Amino acid sequence: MSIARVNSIVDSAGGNTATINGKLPIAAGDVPALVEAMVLLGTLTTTSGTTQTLSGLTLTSYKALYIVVEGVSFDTTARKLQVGGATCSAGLSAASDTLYGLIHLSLSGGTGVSYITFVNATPGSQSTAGGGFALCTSITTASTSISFTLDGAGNFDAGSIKIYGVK
Amino acid sequence: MGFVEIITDAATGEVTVRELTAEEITALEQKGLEALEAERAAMSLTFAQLLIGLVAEGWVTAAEGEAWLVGTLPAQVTVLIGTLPAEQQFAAKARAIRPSTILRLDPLVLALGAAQGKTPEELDQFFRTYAGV
Repeated sequence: MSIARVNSIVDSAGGNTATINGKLPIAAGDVPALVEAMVLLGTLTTTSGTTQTLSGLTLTSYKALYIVVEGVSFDTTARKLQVGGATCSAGLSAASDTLYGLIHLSLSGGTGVSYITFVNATPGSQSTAGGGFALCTSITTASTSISFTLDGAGNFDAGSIKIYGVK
Repeated sequence: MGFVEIITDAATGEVTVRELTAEEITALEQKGLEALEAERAAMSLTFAQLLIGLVAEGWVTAAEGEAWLVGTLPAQVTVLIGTLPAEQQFAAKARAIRPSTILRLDPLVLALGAAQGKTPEELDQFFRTYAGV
């Protein structure tokens, strides 16, 4: 049997502030709604296709997109990843290389930055840094889709891309 | 699969596949050509990277590579330079013996590659590979 210990505390305005078991109770209606700062909008499985598009988006409540590139690869060497038509990675040195990295895209003007590197497929080989890229796209809060392409003919053949909305 | 767009609906998760139009495919191939031209214009190797690659690929022997290091050009390079107009030969020889940077689109690189029967794609891959050594 639990024992509730009740204390009565009078605040400066003369009101009672009762506690239960040493903690101040809060009415359910006073609990603030959970605010999600970053929301997963969708995941693209980039194992096929020349273009990968996430559609059906409503971006009006977001300030930016945060995009995570994981193990993305193409069936053609030298191809670079593009987001909204802007190149955001170096070209693969071999079709077996994979891309990993992050993209931050502001929705106020479609500009952003990416840092995506590619990893050589040879076990134990040194990863190759791809460097940073400044991005200029037309993706804004009014956009309803976001597309990822290669900078030429070729197809995606591995990995995934997660798109997060940032408030 | 040909040229297709994979569309994932964020709200429903439904995935649809759309074939690109002929115009889109043409634009894509043109974009690829432009990207390749831009990449070739930016490709370069140091002298060390060049020699490491030439010996590794067997395009020159190790002995020829050793000799080139100390200023003696391989026979095929000397022969090619000899085919140039006389007024261009010294400059070509100077750039070949003491190169600071080897550019993918340098005329001597293009001529040597062609003389050795290398395709543009083989030269592209050579520069991509040995830029990292």
